[in-house]
Order: sequence, then structure tokens, then C-alpha cells
Amino acid sequence: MVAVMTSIYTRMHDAIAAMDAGQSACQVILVGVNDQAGSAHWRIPATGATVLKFDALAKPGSGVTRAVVHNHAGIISFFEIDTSETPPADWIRGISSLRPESNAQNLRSGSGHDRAFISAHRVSYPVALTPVRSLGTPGVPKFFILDVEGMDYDIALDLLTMDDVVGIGCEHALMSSDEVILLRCTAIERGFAFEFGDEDAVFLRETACP
Amino acid sequence: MIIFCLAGVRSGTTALARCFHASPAFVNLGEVFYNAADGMGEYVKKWEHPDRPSISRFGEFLDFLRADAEHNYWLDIKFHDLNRFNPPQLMVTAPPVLLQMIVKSGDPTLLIGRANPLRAAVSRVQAQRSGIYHLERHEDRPGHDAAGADPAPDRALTIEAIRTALETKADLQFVEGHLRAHRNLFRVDYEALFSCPEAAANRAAVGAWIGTDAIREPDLRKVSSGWPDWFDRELSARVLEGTASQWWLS
Repeated sequence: MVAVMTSIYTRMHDAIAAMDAGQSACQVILVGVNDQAGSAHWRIPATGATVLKFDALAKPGSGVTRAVVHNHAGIISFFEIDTSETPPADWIRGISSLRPESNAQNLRSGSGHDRAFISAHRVSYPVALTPVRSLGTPGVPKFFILDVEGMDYDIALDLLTMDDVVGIGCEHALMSSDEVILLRCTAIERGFAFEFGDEDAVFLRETACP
Repeated sequence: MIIFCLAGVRSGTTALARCFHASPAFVNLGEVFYNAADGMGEYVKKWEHPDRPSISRFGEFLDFLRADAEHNYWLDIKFHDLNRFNPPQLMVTAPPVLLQMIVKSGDPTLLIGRANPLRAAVSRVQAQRSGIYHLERHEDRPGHDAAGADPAPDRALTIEAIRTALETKADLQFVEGHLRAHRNLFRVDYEALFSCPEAAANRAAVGAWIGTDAIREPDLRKVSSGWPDWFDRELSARVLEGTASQWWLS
């Protein structure tokens, strides 16, 4: 299992490095970096790539934009919230509307820092939603790395349809067999090569969209 | 008596019904809503005329059939027709009204599934492309074979077949769920009826269930022994690898 995971992380790293070395340097967009990008060295080379980090639980000042990945009525969205010192309350709304049985749903009954953080805040008002697909600069090649606790399928499926996405990495993705099949079908249709491990997957653009 | 035969497309309903044609009491009405080879779509449309299709009118038609105690009427209803009488205001989670009516009636109901939905999907794509759903209409036409027209593997068609297989599987699970309360349900797979060593015995069991022992051998020419040329097995293996559905290719 470790070998497979390493292989996939290596594929991410090498793909981004190759794009940086060539004429198509890309934006690397990390969504859900709960470890505050501590393991980013696994897959992001120390090159000139622009790296944008978004996380629901990130602390202010860590260089990570706090955000929530939101799944509601089949629409996968993401909204940024303020990064002031006081943790905002409205991101709880995103967690509460995740699909049942997803890993993120279970954050409510999580442990340690996460549970303390969540239990200390309550939903106060709805906020505007921004799709994950709108992150980054339009038209600039983008490599998404998702660590979004059970929503990789929905988000990756959406990102595969975008012309300026050159790669997607899914970490600890909890997908059903049918979701894996449908994701692979879409990847083939949209010109992406793919590799799957037990929990991880990477999609790399092979050809322009048909 | 009426017998509902519920199944997805390409589930062997026509082939099975024809096995019972030798029985004088058996009346195959075929696909109820379509003018297929053994269909009665035009008849139902006339029955409903001039009213728009309604579950009550269809119920009257079924009562008309039930009144004939001498015959067993076989009605083939495909999954995609189970919601044809749904009123527009029906909640999205509600079961199709036709399915509810079938469960409530308690009429003998045969549910035919596909253990391997990919086989059904490939057959469906093949039939859609060729326009040939039932062999006897075209069997004398030499060279009229969709597979022969595209000998090379086709990635797009292969992906379409895999997507269709997943839809077929989901449809079956949905209908199975709603039929759990049915008190006279016979559940069987296509493979058990046509492509396993016990197939003849299984067809006989269905025959006994509907009260006939006059059972013909099915026309097995349509039972595919391999994959069509357009089907890309290598690509399919990559898509299905490591999933619970990878055995579909075996």
C-alpha cells in the first residue's frame, strides 16, 4: 500500500515539476490541507509553481486561506471566509450539509483539535458559495490537489470537465466502486490518464479535450 | 390471470415468453407500451384513446384481462416505463405509481435482472446502433450485423456501455427495493435462465410458476458467446480494475 501511495504522490510531484520545467508552469491549488501543507513536499516540488492553499481548519497566519468545501443538493461549492484571529462560525454550515456518511460529516464527532474547534462554533448565517472550479486564475493551467474527506469524487468529476485543469490529485479519497468507474469513464472522455491506489488517485491530462 | 414481467432492456423477456408459446392458455402480449416484435403498444394506445394515458384507464385494461379465467396474459413492462403514469406533482422519492399498483394487485410478477449488467449494456448499445432488437426480423439478411460495420475497438462506445451498465444496475436495485412487499414475486437473473448449466430447469421452474409445462427451447442465437469487435476489453479492464464490478469482464 505504501508503495502505491508513494507512486501516486511521485506522479503528482513529477507531473508538476515537468510542467514547471516546460513552457506550461501551472498553478497548484491545494484544497483541504488539514495538515497545513505539512506534507506538501510529497507532491509539490520546490519550483516556481504558484501554490494556493485552502483549508477549513487552518489557523490565521499560516499562509493558508481558511475555507469550507461544501456539498449541497449535488452542487459542490467552496467558500472563503475571513482569516481574522477570531474563528468564524459560518463554515459549520458547510460541514453540516455534506452528504451522509462522508468522512467530513464525521468531523462533528471527531476528536482533539477538530472537535474542540467545531463544538466552539455554530452556524449563524448563510454565506455566498463559490465553486471549487472557480479557484485560481481562469485560463492558467491548474493542478488541483484534493484532501477533502469523502468528496473527492464529486469535486474531481467537476474539475475533469474544465479545459484549464491539467491534473488532479485525490488524497485519501473515499469513493465507492461505482464512483471510481464513473470517474475513470469521465477521465478517459476528457483526455486524462489516471492511476489509483487504495485511497489515492491522480489524473493527468494526456490530450486536449475532445 | 395476468403475469407481469418486469425487466430492464435486453434482459431476455421476449426469448423467455416465447418458450411458453406452446401452452394454449399462455397469451404473450409482449411489451405493453411498445410495438416491438412481441409488443402491443398500438393496442394500448387505442384502448386509452381519446383520453390521455392514465393509471385508471390502464387499470381498467388489466381488469378486462383478469376477467378471462382461461388464459394467462403475459405483460412485458420495462423499467423505464414504470413511471409513465406518474403525476407531475409526485415527490421525487415516491415509488412509480405503476409499480405501486403492481405490488398492491398481487398479480404474479416476474422480475428479471442481469447478474452481469455490462453484457446487457453492450447488447443494448449494439441493438441501438443496428436497429435490430429481435433476431428473426433480420436473420435472413446476410451481413446485417452492427459488429461487422465497426471492426475496430471504439473507446467512446465502450465507455457508453460501461455507463449504461451502471444505470442498469441502479435501475434494478431501485425496482427490487420497491418490490420487496410484493406477495407473489419471482426473482431471477437472465444468466440463470439462458447461460448456465441449470438454465433449462430454471425455465421449467418459471413455467411451473405460471402453470405450464409446455416449454420450448429458447432461440439462443442471440446469447452472445463473446464481446463485439467495437468493445474495447483492454480499456474496460482499466476502468473496472480493482472495483467490485471487474468480474463483469470474465
